[in-house]
Amino acid sequence: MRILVVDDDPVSRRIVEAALEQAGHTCDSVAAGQAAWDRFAVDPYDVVITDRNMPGVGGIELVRRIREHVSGRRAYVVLLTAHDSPDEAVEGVTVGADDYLTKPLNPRLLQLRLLAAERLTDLHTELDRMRVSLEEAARTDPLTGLGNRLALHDDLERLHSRVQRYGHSYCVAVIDIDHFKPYNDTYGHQAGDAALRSVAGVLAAVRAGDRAYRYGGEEFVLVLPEQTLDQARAAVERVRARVRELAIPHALNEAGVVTLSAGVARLRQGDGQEVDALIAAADRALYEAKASGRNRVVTAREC
Amino acid sequence: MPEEPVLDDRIVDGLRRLGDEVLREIAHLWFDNLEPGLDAMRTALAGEDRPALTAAAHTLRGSAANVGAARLAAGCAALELAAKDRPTSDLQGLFDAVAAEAASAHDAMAKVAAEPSA
Repeated sequence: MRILVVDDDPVSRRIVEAALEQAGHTCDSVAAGQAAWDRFAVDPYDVVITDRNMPGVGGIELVRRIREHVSGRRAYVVLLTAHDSPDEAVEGVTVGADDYLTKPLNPRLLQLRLLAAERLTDLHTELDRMRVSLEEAARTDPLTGLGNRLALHDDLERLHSRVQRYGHSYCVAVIDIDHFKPYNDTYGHQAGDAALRSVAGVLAAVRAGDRAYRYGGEEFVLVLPEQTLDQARAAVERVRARVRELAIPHALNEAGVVTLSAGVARLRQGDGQEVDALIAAADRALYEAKASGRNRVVTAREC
Repeated sequence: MPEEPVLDDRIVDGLRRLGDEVLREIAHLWFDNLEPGLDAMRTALAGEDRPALTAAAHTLRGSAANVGAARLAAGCAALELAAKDRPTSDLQGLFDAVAAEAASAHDAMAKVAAEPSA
């Protein structure tokens, strides 16, 4: 636990430090609220133990700033108040302190507060870990391990605003496994899942910077930043060739093995084209690829 | 109302639980800040600077309370309160009492800090 001690009285500060050391903790300590805030704002602490009455930025103001600060962690804050003033404690906890202690300090009681702080800090660490893994899970397609539609949407929005700002462009490819429904009907769903995973493996191996997503059933999207339509087409063409080379038997497909069709579109610069319109353009090109015989890559005409 | 003890044993015992070495260190840190605190009061009194006197009495009161110097803390509290509206002559008397309590508290604390724990 990273602990910050804030007190303008050196004696009181030393008592707090010694109580923390005895409980096996180390801490940073400062003599003023402003100095505490300067440190906290740059690198937040897990626990802040602060005197209430200090010249300049006092304990109440410090607590308020800590609570308004947007950081990943929630600091556990203990306010040190005068022993004859319950109002000070009420005010402190109301603005956001987790607990209070009265002066003169009883070191044992401070150590007790640290036990509570430790539990809460552990809980927050666990929550952070769970939040990260839940966020990851919510954005991942469990079958293929590729990003899912939510991840695609978020990533595209981000990429879109970036390229619009810097005047760059990017391409998207909508990719579909040819005759996948008959494949499932013929070979069974387990074989279907295995085929999806194999295709996803080829898609995931695109160059760094490009990203593949599972868009729906047997449909994938490839996002190719900083590429011309020709470059993107060549990249998708390589994917198509590699999937064919997997030689996954598919008796009901013209090629006799699993193949892909793809439509590729490039963001038209400067006309505020929306993400959905770009995907729709790639989707129309995919439809053309299907209509003209499958197992091919078609590019959308740029208007 | 019974007078406050020079040193509040409960608070001193609490500090002693942090270790003899820490108690000594805290005592000396307090000694180092005691004289400058009294000087700040003297200067404020001489200049009839009541806000400065209030602040100095408040600071000394807090640090005295932290080491258990209860009677000194009470004297500082009285001076802090009086500095708001009482005549200067009263303030001098209260300050003299604070200075005397500070000397007693210093001696008592020095003795306690020198004793090893039982």
